[in-house]
Amino acid sequence: MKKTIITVVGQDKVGIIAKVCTYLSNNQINILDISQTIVQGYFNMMMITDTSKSAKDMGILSQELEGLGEEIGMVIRCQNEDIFTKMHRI
Amino acid sequence: MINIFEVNETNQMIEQENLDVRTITLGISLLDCIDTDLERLRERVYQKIVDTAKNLVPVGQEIEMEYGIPVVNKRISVTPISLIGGSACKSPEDFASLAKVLDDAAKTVKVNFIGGYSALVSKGMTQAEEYLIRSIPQALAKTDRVCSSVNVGSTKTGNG
Repeated sequence: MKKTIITVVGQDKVGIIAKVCTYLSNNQINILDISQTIVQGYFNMMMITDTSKSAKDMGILSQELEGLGEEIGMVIRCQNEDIFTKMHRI
Repeated sequence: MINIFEVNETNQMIEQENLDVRTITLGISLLDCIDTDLERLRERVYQKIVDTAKNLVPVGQEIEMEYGIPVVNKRISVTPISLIGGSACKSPEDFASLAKVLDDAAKTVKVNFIGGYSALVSKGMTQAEEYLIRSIPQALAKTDRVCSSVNVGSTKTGNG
């Protein structure tokens, strides 16, 4: 399993989760967990995904998701889970 | 399990506060290159560094892509050159020519710095170490990526 953390941040609008999940589904990325908050119209979502079955490597996925983010007016980051666990866990 | 606040905090570090990896350093022992002949020594040092470090920069770039965090410098660190050149080098000029070899090797493998043009003299200084120390201005003037140091004291030995 290759866990990655995808964060989506920006102004709330219709279709954000649908568009992101369609991309993930098309690239064989399995969603393991989703955490999401909307605070005063500001949308903030974190997804933990498994990218081990994706044909594309991390660099490409990251770039494509960033591009998708720009299309829908959100900031999307896709990063290896290790960055976060090493920072916050002993 | 990581939570959304921790993720946001780390992302802020990367995007707004310029979190990066300052350097990755490959340590290379040159002890097996020691030779009494200066020309042979230069060839062996060059070859050892180039062979061992040939993948350092490409792998560093792969790591940057994988984790999305920049790696600012890629470095090599070698055995103190005062020990490596001890038998072949009979003058500061001989040592400076070793610095040139380090510089050439660093440029071949495309690292930012190569450290180890050094002498550790906290317990006293040999003739070879003195030659190296005297060669430092010349060595640094004619190279671009070589880093040099002289260790003159330690907790255990005091100032030599």
